Amino acid sequence: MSCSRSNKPDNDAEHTGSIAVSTCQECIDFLIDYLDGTLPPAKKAEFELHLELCPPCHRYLNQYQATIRLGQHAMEEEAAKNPPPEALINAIMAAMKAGHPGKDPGEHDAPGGCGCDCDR
Amino acid sequence: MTHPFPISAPTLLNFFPLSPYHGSVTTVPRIPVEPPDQTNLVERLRSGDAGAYEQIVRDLTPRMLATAKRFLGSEADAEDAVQEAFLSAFKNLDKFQEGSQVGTWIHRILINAALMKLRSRNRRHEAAIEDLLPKFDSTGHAENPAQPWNLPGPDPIQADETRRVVREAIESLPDAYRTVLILRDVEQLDTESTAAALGITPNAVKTRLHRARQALRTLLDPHFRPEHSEPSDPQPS
Repeated sequence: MSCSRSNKPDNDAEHTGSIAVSTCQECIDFLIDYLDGTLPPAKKAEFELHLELCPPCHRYLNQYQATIRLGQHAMEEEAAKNPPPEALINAIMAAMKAGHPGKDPGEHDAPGGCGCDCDR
Repeated sequence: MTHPFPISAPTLLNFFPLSPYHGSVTTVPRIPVEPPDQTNLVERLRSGDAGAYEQIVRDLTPRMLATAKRFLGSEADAEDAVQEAFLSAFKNLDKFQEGSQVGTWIHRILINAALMKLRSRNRRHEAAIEDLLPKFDSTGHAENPAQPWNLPGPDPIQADETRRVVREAIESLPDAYRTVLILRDVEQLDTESTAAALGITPNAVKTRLHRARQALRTLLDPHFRPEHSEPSDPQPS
């Protein structure tokens, strides 16, 4: 048994007289709404009461938030460190010069357009 | 002439609103997507200034490549997506709306290019995410309550090993969940923009995001649990 909070609806009604977040399952189901700030006030109060009484759910909430931060940091750090690969830069520039739009607008200015689907 | 663009630009440009997500749990500062010097940049691009093209490609490529790799995994696919995004953007400069940020505009084209590439390739073998979600008994209590984590200190989120573990865990998530997690938590799009980018409902975004975060927590749990403790959630088989 992990949670000192009863899951009986009658007990929930005695606690708050509101919509109940009575079980760990409901608590975890509502986590995302709680963190997004979209839980109705009565539900939010019940949610927070459950967290006070249930250390594992409180821990789960903290770990859920840590998971988000860890994910952000893990994915963000790559971008700033690496210089742009020259081969890719050169390929992009070459493709651009070969087709679009660059310094060679004559093709697009030709009567009837350039024949491709570039809208020019 | 043969058209050089493998993906039609109008499709890549058919993108979602530019409203960023400002939820309460996103605390990591974003690396700017804008080139440092935007003075007359769009004008220079539109006039065919080759120097302007090279400048913007050099400025934006590192971040765009990192973003594409998050979605696609492979370096080669990521480079293809970056190239397609730049070419599509350059081809459609006349559709760029004045007052917008050119870097953000191209970044969104890139995300569309990456998502299209992801959809078009064969789906890899993916474990069912249900195995990574918390389990509850008939009374609604967790079968394996969360146990404390020991995050490596003193600055755990900067540790290379931690980042490697987290990256591998994210990469192991099924595409449908990993994509939502990246769009919402890393790219920090809001629910509606994410739904538009993926062609699913906002409710589906919320459900997938919640499941993706729960699954990622489960995957990280054994790495941050004190030694010799029991797993708190079902581990992947």
